[in-house]
Amino acid sequence: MTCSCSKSTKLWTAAVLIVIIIGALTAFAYTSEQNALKGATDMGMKATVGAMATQVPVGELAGLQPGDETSEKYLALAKTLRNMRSMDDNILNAYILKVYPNKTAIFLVDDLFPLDPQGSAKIGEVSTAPNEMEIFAALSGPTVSKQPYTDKYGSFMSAYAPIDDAATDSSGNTVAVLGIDVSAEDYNNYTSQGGFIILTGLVSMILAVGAIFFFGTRRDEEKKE
Amino acid sequence: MRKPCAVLIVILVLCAFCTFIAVPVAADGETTTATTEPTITLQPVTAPTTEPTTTLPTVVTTEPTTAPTTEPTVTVPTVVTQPTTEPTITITIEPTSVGGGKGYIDTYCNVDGASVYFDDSYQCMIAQGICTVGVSPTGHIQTVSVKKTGYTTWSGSLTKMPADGEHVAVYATINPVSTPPTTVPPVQTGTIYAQSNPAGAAIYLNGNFYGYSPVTIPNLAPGSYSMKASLNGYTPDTQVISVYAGQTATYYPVLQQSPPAPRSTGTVSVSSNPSGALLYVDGSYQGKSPMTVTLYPGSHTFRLSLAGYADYTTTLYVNANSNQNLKADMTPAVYGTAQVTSMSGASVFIDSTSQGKIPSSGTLTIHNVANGNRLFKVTAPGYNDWLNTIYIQPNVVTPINAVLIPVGTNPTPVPATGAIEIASTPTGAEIYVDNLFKGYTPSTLTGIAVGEHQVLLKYTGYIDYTQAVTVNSGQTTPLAISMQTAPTPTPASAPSLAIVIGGIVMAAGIGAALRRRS
Repeated sequence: MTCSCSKSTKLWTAAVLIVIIIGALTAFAYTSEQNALKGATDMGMKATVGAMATQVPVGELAGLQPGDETSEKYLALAKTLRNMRSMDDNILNAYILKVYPNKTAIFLVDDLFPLDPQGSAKIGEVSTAPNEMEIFAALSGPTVSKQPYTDKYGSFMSAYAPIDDAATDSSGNTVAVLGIDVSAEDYNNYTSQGGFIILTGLVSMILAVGAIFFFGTRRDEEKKE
Repeated sequence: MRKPCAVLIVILVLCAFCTFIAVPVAADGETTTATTEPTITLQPVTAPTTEPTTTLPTVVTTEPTTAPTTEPTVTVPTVVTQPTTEPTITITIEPTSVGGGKGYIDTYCNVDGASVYFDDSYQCMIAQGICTVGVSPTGHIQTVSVKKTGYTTWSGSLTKMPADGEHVAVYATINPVSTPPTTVPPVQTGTIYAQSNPAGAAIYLNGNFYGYSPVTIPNLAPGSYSMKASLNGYTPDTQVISVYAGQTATYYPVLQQSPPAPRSTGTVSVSSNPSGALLYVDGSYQGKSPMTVTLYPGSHTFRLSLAGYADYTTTLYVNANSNQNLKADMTPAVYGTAQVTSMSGASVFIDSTSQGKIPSSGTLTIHNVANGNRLFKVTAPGYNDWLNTIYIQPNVVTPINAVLIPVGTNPTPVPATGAIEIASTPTGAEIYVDNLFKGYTPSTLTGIAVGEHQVLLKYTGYIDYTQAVTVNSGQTTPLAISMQTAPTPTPASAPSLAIVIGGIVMAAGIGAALRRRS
């Protein structure tokens, strides 16, 4: 009786250990996969917005004033942004922000304005996106939102990149910041694809525990017989 | 044996629960981690107009105080007794009683602590708004003054001495003197010290070049600054540095070497005499000379352009992993002369730069035209533009005859065209005609060649719409399209709990059956 109880305890201990080990490995694999997907997506967004920022005609940004939304210069800039993002349907919006040292960012160009004046930002409108630090840091290099956010225009994941004046006078100073938005839903769908890992871990757990009990008790019965 | 199997099933179910708790299920995107769920990150929408006021730092100004700095306990005269503000108030003498050999002068003042003087002789100090001085009715007092440091001095003449036992009231009002602050508060700023590894990197503050590392950036208001260190051949480093008042924040970027190019490259160090020439390599602007460009091996065309000098053009073969020097001695541009003959009043342009109008003589002579191929354009209202590229030889007069043709006499037949008027629901769809992007709906496309064309509408989230449209000469073909919403792809759902439990039960059942057989 004592021997049988000890055997059972061993089986249970082995089962719990195997569950813990497989569960931990599954969690690790899932988390790593999530981070990798998010990192790759963020890097892709930064690369895209960085490349787009180099194509903005910097000289056209000078002198834009509130009320210039219908000027030829503004419309040309908006068209340039729209053409650039039209290469990728996932990019919903492209816009140019003027960023001040106090981290206030105001819109200079919104590529949706010619199409939807009521639903887009006008010149001088202050950005209400909660990515204040990301926008500010984009004065120096491409950045991306830490996570999707929601503002009055919808839920987005955004990337930002500096627009430098290097093409005109080679000083390399940042004139403005280019921002692009992708749908938060699309972003989440793309970066949350770890269900298969969980399922694999669960099945492995079941098989391992089942095997432990199956073979463990089988030997006892064989001995009894 | 049934009891252990039942316990085993219970344990497995618990394990499954533990797994689901430990690892968030997020296969369908509906339930995801807290960091990526947008609903968790909902931010209150702030009206744009209020945003700057909440984010802008409060500017602390050092307004000079109007209160005296040396007498902080004195209250500002906000309550004035009888006379209000003017210090030139005449003395009001009000006999209160008659009798005795001593009269009294009651001096009322709005500031306690002020000193009262009779003919510049100190008498008393104002306390609780009044100071009473006994005087002889036979005495002679001409002037009463009230003084206090940091305040204006009040002074007036006493027209009547008080009789015996009589009280004569004098009302004085003094006002604080606006004095500049004695000490200017120290400016609360901080400093950033930037030193890169390797040194020499260009340091940018908030996107603007400041200097080369190591560098100290003083007089910075407390706050955050976006810093960047950039060095040729290294990956730029960016950080946000916080500056605190009276402290030196450090920025120590360690720059990593840029990843090597996909294949070997060579460099060419380009210099010019004089320097500052614009360098173009294979037609692409590179910068101003002197500079070093990195190029893939092969033949490359270098062009240096500087105002007042002839373009310097040469071709170099760049070898891998080697550096070549290119020194361009720019030669002053050699000029020629162009004689443009055309209709009087026509405008003449060379390389898009206006040169003037054709005079009544019919010939415009243009001197100092840089040699080489120049694009000439002659325009006049009602005439077709005349365009031609003419090679201007140095020190030679080049005759140019620009014959303008009136508009409308072009014998070239104009092909018949029509138009397509496209509207869609929703608006803003991209319009493609024969796979060429034409704009966004709603739009009327003119100049469409007569015949059948394929019209394609694209809009994110909607099914592409394609239709063949026949365009007739001089007619507008209407096209109203209601686009259909694209079906939402069925998300790959995560294994439900019921399936998991069912799987566990099934596995346990299979295990039990196998055991019984054995």
